[in-house]
Amino acid sequence: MTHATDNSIDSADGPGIQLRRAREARGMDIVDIAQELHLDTWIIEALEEDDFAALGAPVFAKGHMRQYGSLLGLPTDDLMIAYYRVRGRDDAPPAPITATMTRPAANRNVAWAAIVLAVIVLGGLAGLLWFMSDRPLVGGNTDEPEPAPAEVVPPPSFDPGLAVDAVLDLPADSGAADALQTGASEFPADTGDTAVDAADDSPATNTPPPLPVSGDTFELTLRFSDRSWVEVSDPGGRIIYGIFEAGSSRSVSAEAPVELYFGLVGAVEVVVNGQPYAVPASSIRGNTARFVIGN
Amino acid sequence: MLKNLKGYFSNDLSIDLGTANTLIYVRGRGIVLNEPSVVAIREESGRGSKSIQAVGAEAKNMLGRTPGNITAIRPLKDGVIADFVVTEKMLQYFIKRAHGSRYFRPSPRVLVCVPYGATEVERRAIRESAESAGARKVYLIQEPMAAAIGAGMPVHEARGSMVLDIGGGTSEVAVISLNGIVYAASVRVGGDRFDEAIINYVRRNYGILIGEATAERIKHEIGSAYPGEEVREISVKGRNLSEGVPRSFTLNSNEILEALQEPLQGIVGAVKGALEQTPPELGADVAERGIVLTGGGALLKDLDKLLMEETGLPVVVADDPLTCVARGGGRVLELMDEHGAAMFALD
Repeated sequence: MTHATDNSIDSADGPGIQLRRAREARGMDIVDIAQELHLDTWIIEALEEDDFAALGAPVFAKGHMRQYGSLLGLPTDDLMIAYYRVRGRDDAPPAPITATMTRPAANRNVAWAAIVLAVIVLGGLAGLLWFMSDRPLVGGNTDEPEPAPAEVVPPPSFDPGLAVDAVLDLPADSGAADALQTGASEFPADTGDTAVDAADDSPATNTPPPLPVSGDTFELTLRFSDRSWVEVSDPGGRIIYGIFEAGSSRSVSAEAPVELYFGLVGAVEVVVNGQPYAVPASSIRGNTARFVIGN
Repeated sequence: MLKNLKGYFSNDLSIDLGTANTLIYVRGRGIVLNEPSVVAIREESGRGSKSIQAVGAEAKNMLGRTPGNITAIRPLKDGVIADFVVTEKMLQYFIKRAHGSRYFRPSPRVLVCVPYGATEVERRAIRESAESAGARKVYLIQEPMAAAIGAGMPVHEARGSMVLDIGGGTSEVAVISLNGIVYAASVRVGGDRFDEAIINYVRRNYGILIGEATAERIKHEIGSAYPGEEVREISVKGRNLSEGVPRSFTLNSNEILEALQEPLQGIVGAVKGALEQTPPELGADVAERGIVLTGGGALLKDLDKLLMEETGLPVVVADDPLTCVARGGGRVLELMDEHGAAMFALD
């Protein structure tokens, strides 16, 4: 796994090494830095040794690191990528805001389930009542033959089989959103969730070109038409992470399966081995998308 | 009874009801709404009745650009409700959007973050407004506490943590230890005062009147709290007061720095006051680890440097400072079920 883009600092190094090298290149010692940042020297030493646990809560470790990097003129985004690589995902930054509303999957599914269930129960009761009330009217004789099956089916506008399937396939967790969005298209579309619905209406975008399979190494390129937060990981760990500006791009050699997480999916163009890759509509939630290539 | 039934279908919400922006955190889903706290109201000619024309970003775009029968207003001022009815309508709209259901009115448990300095009357207004907007149960939490939790500060430790939350209407500084506020102060200085200061500066020095939206744009693009090596410029348009016609002119970052001095000194004064009032043991903790900045005001360039120079203490900016209060409220909702509402002295 190699990074194809150029960085002003060696991104393979931990943040502490990058800070120490930059400090030494500027001929400053730890005491100078401590005075500039109003910190104790042991905090500077801990930062340079990647000993973040000594600094307490992550908010302080990250904050002091940004100040230190800024003082030395280092790009703080790259420093933070290195920080997260060392410290791991437990200390990930807050999720990006979805400026437009995302589909409230779990609640809507529960509401749908309740509505469908109520319709089925009411339909069943009505059918039963009709059946019970119909028998005496036919002849008042219990020996009369049973009514034809065609007479007891519910009205044609109602498809009980479909409704029952939808209910039975509906798990309680948010994964049910996928089932409803992709499979049960009989449900009315929600005009308020334009991002998701627009994607759902174009099934052609769900047919990606031949993809690498698990274990393959391939070239992944991300091009940004707007500012977006991105996280990309392969079995070796996180390979792209941070906020990228409009007009920039990032290329990496990655090993499948690769997990991608975009903050603003419309701003990111994905290219796999030189071929454009369409982000699966089912992975999109509002402005964000989370999906796997080469699973 | 009906509320409880609807509550089964509603997720808990944490609302940062701010002067400038309202953010909503939905439990289990994160922040789902971040909209300006602005409402546009249309007055029907002849009948005198009023209706909501737009809410949030759409209404903000109308600020200063409305015809006579439409008024774009900000129902919160200095962190508290200035127009109860409009706030209620705005909250109702935001809660419905956050919930997303078109089939029934949600009835969630709602935690609202209120300024530390809010009076009992102001707190009651916020509570009633949220209840009228459909909340099944309303909890209030002080903003500095929510901000500290959202920033990831170790508020539960027996160590002093100082947070400075700079919002649109107020700035709140607090020292927290063992899940409680040891000292806090609120000053009615925030992003709005920065905008006002820029408007006043331009009028005084250029004889030109600019609107709030232009002042905010100037602040975002070239605003700075501390002198930097790079001088940035911006070209803006406003109405020349003597000629009465629109004119274009250029401002630089040093001028904006000068314009912002008064509100910035208000914030610096509040921080220094808090440090004076903090017990020495906790003050020593703050001196070692530093002050954490949250809120949209923390995004003002070099504000951390200014505070560092003025106080002689380390200052750090939290991750995504704009959403700290709402995220902190969301975290409290989660902790509340585990430990009870008394843990964070919720109302």
